Amino acid sequence: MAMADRRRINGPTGATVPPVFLEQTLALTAPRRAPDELRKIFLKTSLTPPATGSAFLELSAPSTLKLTASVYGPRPLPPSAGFSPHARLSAELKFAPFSTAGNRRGYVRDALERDLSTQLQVALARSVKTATYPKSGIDVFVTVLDCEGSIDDYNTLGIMQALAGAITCASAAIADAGIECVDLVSAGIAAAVGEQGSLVMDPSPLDGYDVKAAALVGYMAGRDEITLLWTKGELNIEGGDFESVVDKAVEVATQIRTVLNEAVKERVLAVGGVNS
Amino acid sequence: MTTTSTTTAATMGLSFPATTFQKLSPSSYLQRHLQCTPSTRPSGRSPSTFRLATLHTNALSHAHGSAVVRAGDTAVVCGVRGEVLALTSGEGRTRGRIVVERVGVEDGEDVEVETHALVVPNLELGTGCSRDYHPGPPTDFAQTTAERLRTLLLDTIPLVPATTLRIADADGAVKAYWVLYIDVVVISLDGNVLDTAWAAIVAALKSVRLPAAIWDQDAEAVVCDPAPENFRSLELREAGYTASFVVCYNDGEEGGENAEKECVLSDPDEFEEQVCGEKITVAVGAGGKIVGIEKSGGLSDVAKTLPTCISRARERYQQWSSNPIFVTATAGNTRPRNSGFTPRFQPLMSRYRLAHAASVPAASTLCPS
Repeated sequence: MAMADRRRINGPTGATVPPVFLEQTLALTAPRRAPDELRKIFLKTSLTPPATGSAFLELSAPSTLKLTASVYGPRPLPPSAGFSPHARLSAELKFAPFSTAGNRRGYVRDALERDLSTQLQVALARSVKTATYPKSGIDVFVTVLDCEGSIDDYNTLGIMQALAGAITCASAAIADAGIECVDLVSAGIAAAVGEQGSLVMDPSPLDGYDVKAAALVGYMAGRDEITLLWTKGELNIEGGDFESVVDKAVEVATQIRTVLNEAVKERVLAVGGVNS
Repeated sequence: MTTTSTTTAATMGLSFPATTFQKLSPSSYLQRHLQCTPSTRPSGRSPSTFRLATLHTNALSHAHGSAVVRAGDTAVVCGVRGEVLALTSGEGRTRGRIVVERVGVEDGEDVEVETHALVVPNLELGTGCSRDYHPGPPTDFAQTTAERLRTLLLDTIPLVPATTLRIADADGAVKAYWVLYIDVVVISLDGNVLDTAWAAIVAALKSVRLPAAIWDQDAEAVVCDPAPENFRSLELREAGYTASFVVCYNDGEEGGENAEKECVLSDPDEFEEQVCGEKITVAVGAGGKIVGIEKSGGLSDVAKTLPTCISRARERYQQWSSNPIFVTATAGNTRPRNSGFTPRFQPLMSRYRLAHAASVPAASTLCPS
């Protein structure tokens, strides 16, 4: 911990280190999933009653991702904000201090959280009918309670996993809030792994793949539109590698969309306007 | 429904729904509820009823101990992580020499916990848990509540003795300490965050499993044994619990002459906390003894309200301490994971929702189903 945050209760003045183990056990304990098998998702809305809308997302074991999203709005902007003919969507993503492996995260917002918050806002912004709520603000807060793998090492999928979960969960929360949307956004990840670059859907950092490239898409399945695209690694555009990884990620997002639909079905029907 | 009529215009009644009445005149709204027989609160509880609390422990995979507590609409997640503080001191040539001064310490004194800050509780309210709390620096309320929790943990109900945090070498000399970072993240807030956060801290501490730590003389560092069967629980003292109340006044407008002047409400929710200015917290320690009372604001007759609070707090203590999570150390299987960091992890999901087929809904470790 570099600086003591004077508004929080700080630890000892000497530095503390996470426990160092004698040997690292790296054996995989769970059988690896098939390349086209997705992990099972638990997604539930309306768990934070004070919020206008909220949702909680959890991945099935052995994955450990857990996060919660709450949405406030549309609520009036402060007078200092000036006139805005559209609603302003702001998104904040936070990692809880106990959510990551390795070092404990501090409470102060760092560059990673700022970056992911911006990505989340980009993914969600075009799905909401902002023109129906002038002079208003819509706030989305996502708290990641448990990550998979480490998010300190930028080569892992951990960060992408957290963002993908956050996008899906936030979209469910926005629908739970009864805010008018063009479509719901679901996020999917696909990766090219190993020497051959074979494609894997919904890879987990715990699977132990040697990831050559990965893509995350925020996808509106009803309109066949991508709201966010984030790729890592080298992908050959001429040979079609880029397209195939992105298409696989879109396929993952489409399958996750069915879970999202189930989770918000009650609320959407209650708000009205759905003939099904 | 309430109707008032103006006498100036032709008889025109004003009637509006209960929620509007609640916003226009919150204290009257609360009073009218309490004047009914039997007196009820707007949430439907009686003044002496605490909200039923549910607890789940060991749901987080990267924490040595964790607990999720839900009491009504207030939900908090508490994670405890242990890190190692090696006692080295000195600069330059003298760096690395171990200095431990324990002057006048006997068993039962926890000077080490205080001086070395071995227990670090923190409260995070900026998670979008309520419309008033946004991400950012902690508000005054968050800071004061965190400080109250720290005082409870170090002083009023000192759960963690220094002995359980010491890491000693083969000769028994203390070389390092475990430092427990206790982080309470509030997911949903509907009043009375202190009680819920404290219960989560107690449950999380009871569920902590720390690795066996050995002082390596050659490396002059602490190394830990990754075998999950060698993880140990903390040896904690007997737990105590808190109970919070607010006192509601009747200014004499409602119910006539014979109305009750004061009403003590247990476990207030957000609405009641805003309306009533007087707050009382009672801390009950081992064996039902009262170990702390805090009262702020208000002009009530303390001789009448405090005995009520104390007897209700004792009942609440009985409720907490008979909860199975607090009675036994958390049982359950340890599962070796594929990382050097092997905390205990209990996956509780038994039914799954497939992403590409409609099927039985999934269960969750953190949420009520």
